[in-house]
Amino acid sequence: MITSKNVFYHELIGLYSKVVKSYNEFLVGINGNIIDERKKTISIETEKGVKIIPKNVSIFHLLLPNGEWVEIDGKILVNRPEDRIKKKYKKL
Amino acid sequence: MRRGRRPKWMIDIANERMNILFSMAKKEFSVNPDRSHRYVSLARKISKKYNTKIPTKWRRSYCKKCYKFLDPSKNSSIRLKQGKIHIKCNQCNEIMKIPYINEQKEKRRAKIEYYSIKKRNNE
Repeated sequence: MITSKNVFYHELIGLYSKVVKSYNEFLVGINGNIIDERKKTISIETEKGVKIIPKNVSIFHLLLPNGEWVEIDGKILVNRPEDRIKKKYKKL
Repeated sequence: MRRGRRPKWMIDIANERMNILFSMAKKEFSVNPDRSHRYVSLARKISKKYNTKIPTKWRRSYCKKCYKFLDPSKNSSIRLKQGKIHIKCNQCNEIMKIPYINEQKEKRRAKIEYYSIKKRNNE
């Protein structure tokens, strides 16, 4: 189960997300389902096509399957998707 | 981190992630098949890194040679020949063969048991 305590270990593909804050102000407000994930970027499907967003300069809001909203800093997510499970975090 | 066996909580998360990826691949296949091939490769990477087997439900749903997602009657065909299940990938023409002799033996055993119980009750 995806909960607010293990989102950064878990799968991001398929979640609904929204960009809240970013270094590039044109990216703020993009929302949609996540369809792909690379080491440094996340791609989101919107009405106007697929948008690619850098992780390390933006803050996301994620909607979990149990109806909970979670705010997450993109800097924590910078890693290959399969390596995120074994990465050690200082503060939960 | 050391190589080899991982702690249990990591393996649990890895299994859940593989399940999510394969069900997403099945959902996306009819609209955009490239995406579902990408999800299969992501799931395979997780299974290699954490020494976990791919869930039995999904083990036959990708090609063992070109690692593409298989959907029966759209890009693969299934036949029964000589006591084996033949699953053919239509992209690379590879045929996976899986024997089903254990299921046949179980069926035979159940049949014999049924008759022996019937005989005992008559006596």
